[in-house]
Amino acid sequence: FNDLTPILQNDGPTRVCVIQYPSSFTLAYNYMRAVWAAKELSERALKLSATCLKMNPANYTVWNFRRQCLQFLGLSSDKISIQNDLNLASSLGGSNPKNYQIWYHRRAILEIYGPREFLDSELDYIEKVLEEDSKNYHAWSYRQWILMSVDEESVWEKEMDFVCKLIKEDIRNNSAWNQRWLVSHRGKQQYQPIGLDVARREADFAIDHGAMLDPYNESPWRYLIGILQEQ
Amino acid sequence: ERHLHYIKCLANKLDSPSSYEGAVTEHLRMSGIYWTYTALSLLVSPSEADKILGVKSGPEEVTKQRPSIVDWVLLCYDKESGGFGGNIGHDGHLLYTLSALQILVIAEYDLNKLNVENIVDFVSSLQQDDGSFAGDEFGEIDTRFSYCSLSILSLLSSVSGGFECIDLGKAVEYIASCQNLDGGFGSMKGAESHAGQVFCCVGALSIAKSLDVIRHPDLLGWWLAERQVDSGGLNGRPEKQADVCYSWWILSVLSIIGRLDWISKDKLAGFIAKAQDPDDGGIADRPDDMPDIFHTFFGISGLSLLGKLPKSYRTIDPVYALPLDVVLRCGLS
Repeated sequence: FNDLTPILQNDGPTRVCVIQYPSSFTLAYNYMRAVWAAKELSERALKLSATCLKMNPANYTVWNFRRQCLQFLGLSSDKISIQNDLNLASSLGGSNPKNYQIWYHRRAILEIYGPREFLDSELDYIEKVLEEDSKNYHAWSYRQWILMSVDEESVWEKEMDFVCKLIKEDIRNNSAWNQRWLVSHRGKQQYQPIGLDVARREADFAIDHGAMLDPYNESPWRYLIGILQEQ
Repeated sequence: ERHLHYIKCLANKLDSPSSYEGAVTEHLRMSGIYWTYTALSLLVSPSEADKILGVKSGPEEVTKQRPSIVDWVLLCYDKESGGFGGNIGHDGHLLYTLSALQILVIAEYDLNKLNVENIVDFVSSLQQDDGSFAGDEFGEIDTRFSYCSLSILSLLSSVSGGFECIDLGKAVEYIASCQNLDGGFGSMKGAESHAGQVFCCVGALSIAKSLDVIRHPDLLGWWLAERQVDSGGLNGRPEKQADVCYSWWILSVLSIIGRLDWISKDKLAGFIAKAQDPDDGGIADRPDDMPDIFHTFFGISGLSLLGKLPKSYRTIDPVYALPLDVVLRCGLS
């Protein structure tokens, strides 16, 4: 990066909050700003963005820039590149990834590439995250997105097995009950109430595998009410 | 007094060398300033709050080390997108555009001086075909952004065409479609009901004068009331831990739907009180944890909605999360 002049953090003519950043952070971001000022999209800019993200995985502007580089370099349609970025997001998230940007990056790149090829590995990854935290809101939202994007009957059936397993493991997992609703409706809950047979099955499940086992748990009761109201 | 002390000391804390916390929250500084300024506004008079934070430009500001908050906010304006970024040099985003406007209206900044047309264009450009909103041009969709866009347009309504630039009907339709089996709302269609998202959806519906699309208000009220746990605190979803910030997300909605007495106010106030730091001031997410400005703001706001702050203090508006007098001054109800 010798050809660029690093640009210091500009907090205004005099600074509101005087913050001393750790020096490696300062260095990386000074060059990141220089790259942005030069309007450069390149391989080295891509590498630098990864360095900056390792220091602050929630910095949305850097994530945005990274996707612009991928697009510019023609890597948005390159399978190996996409896998690489999915791995990056996974490693930055650690075992319990909780920032919006890490999850959104997966969706953003797969929206362009197409999620089908990565469905199984993504579902596996999400399952691992859920093993650490069965209620990770971002993980569930992303899981819902990918299932609804692919929208295949066999996939929905497998997901129902997954939901049943989770509810069996922890009857109080409200996220799993919420997912059950989505799956039983095949992601179409807004405009297509389920048929009577499915409704009966779902009501029975809520009672037999929920309310009867733990009557003081909210989730199966709410589920039951939801089913009845819809019918 | 202690909370005032905590807030005043905040700038000094962030000043400390190798502040990692300062570094990793740099990109959302705009929201941090909004939480700080609004919390202060609930504790002291407008002129006192302005003096403590150095909000407005003026002759007495020139001598200080710190610039005015208003000037810094304006430096965060991202001409390319038309919105405000989380800090100087950051991409415009709905979250920080809202925080910026919230700061500016409290500070009584003349909105005509802003590039109103470009801000409005920024917001309208983010509406999707299904009525939802992305947070920025890069496309993350979330009902948080539905709230941000409606609040932004509402706050700017005195100097712009209000909601003309978007399809308000579709925006409402999308929010309505995020209603779940339990009467609550999630971040997207199908996403689990979550108190923070419920606030965003109900707040947005209130701004759009469309609360009638809530299919089962009693069911929603019951879901919200069930967030209160034994400690008196509120959680965000079933079986999760109580957290002071839910005092805001949930109380505001209960206020809006007229069911504030569906929870025990005294028990909640007790929980918030226990989460205070008795030595240095500030409020944490729960008792015995470290305070932060986010939870300090929402704890104080929660106490305001509970009517537990002294009568002499300003009250907070549950829809706009701004002092009530500011909302009225903007001509909003």
